[in-house]
Amino acid sequence: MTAPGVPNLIDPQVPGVRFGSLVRVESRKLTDSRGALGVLIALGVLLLIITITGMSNGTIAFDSALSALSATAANFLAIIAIMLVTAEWSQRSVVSTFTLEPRRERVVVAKALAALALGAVAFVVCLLLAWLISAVNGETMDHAGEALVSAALYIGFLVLMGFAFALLLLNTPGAIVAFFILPTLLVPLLVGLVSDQDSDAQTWVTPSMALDQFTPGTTSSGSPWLPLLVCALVWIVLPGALGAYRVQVSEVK
Amino acid sequence: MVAVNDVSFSALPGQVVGFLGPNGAGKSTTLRILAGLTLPSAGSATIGGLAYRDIPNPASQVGTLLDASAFHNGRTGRETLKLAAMTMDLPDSRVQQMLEVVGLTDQEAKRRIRNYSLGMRQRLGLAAALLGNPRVLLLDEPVNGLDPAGIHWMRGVLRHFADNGGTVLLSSHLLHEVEMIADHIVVIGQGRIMAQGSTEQLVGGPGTQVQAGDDAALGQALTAAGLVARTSTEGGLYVQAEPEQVGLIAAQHGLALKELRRAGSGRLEELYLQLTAGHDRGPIAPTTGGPR
Repeated sequence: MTAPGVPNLIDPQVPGVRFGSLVRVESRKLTDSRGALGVLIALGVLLLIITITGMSNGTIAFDSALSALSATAANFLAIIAIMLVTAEWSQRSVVSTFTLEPRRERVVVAKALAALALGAVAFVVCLLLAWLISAVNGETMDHAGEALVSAALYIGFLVLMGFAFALLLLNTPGAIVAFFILPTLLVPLLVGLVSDQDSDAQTWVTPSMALDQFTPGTTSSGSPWLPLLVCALVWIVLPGALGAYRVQVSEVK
Repeated sequence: MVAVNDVSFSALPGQVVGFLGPNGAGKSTTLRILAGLTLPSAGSATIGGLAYRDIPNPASQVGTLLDASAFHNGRTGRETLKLAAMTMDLPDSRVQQMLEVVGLTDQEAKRRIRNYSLGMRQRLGLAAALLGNPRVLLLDEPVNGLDPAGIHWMRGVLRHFADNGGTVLLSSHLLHEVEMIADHIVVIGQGRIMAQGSTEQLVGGPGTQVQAGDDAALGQALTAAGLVARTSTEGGLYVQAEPEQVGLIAAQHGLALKELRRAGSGRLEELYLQLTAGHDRGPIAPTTGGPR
């Protein structure tokens, strides 16, 4: 289409797809299909049940309420983050996604931001519910600051880890199974077998153990941030980088 | 515009170009490489001199319908278009407009795509391709799954698009579809272009497919009348003449006919059959060289 005398078919000067639009589109995909909406509704119901149970118990304080709520939310949000990536590949709507924005890396980042934004919304909801529980129970707000950090880390870590697994495997059941088996069971088990009984080696590769170091009242030797950083490298950065490369070069069929 | 193994052709504004080839000839692969969905192992593919990835807001310049089954089944038709419109920063009114253009009713647009027939998916796919008001359309097997009325309708839409200065490149493995819909045909096989030209040029003069109770007698009668007749691949005879003329000769000789109809294309059909019959899918080279 570059024959002389032919008007140019493509205008290279028009503005490209706005990144903000991509984030809005990906956020909308979190709720506009039955699968994603179902998981979200299930999460809502579960958070309500926890809240009602917590209020009727009478002794649950803010920090333990928040940790129960946020741990539940984090696991569900991880599944939603996984589906945000993998559903497009199994449903093959990725064909239109990548013809609308062929710079795939922008789509991947937009998806990650959409998943994190949902995580932030869920965090605020958990916060309000935890405050409600503690207020109804007449409990104090002890350890509120630590509890906030712990909850935010829990949600953020699990969402990103699910997202990274999804990029790597591009398959919903595979990513969900890997997400729940590898970092919590298989790898810690293997590390436990080859390391000293007294060593804390498992903490460094097991996200749940590293995250538990942030639970209010936990005393840990040394900074809790280092094991979490190592876990993030192993379970988020490594699979995420490999997965992003895979998405970049994959043939979209 | 497209090259498979170092062969290129161009599609000009105002043209509907049919990309014709047997299954496995690399038509879909070529279109997918053009749209940046498949990375070529070597070489490059460009539209208007730009790789698809480098076209800003590409869907507003190049509309694509590459796979009508590649929609999220859990979304409604309208929602699918809405997401595309949001990506391109288009107003909702544009979605409604395109639904009307492709003839999907409000009721149908509200249904989830899993309940769509292939024909409805093709209509939705065309709506998505036209949504950004592009100047180029890339369509892979767009009439697949459409009934004759649907094919007629598709021809009207694409003709209108081309008449307004648009360029259409569509693929098909069915000669008769391409003949109906394209005004320029490129035949691809064995990784290279076997023939190209205007549909009229390639299809040639009138042709008739005829079958009689006694084909041999009919053949003699036709030859005696000075017409060129040969055994048709569809059974019966292929005659280079108008059906009316063939019918008259048969009547004069008192031959009962089982079939008499206009056959689309003489030369092109022959060429295409040679291409598809001899080495169907077998040694036809994949597009390893990559389009340029």
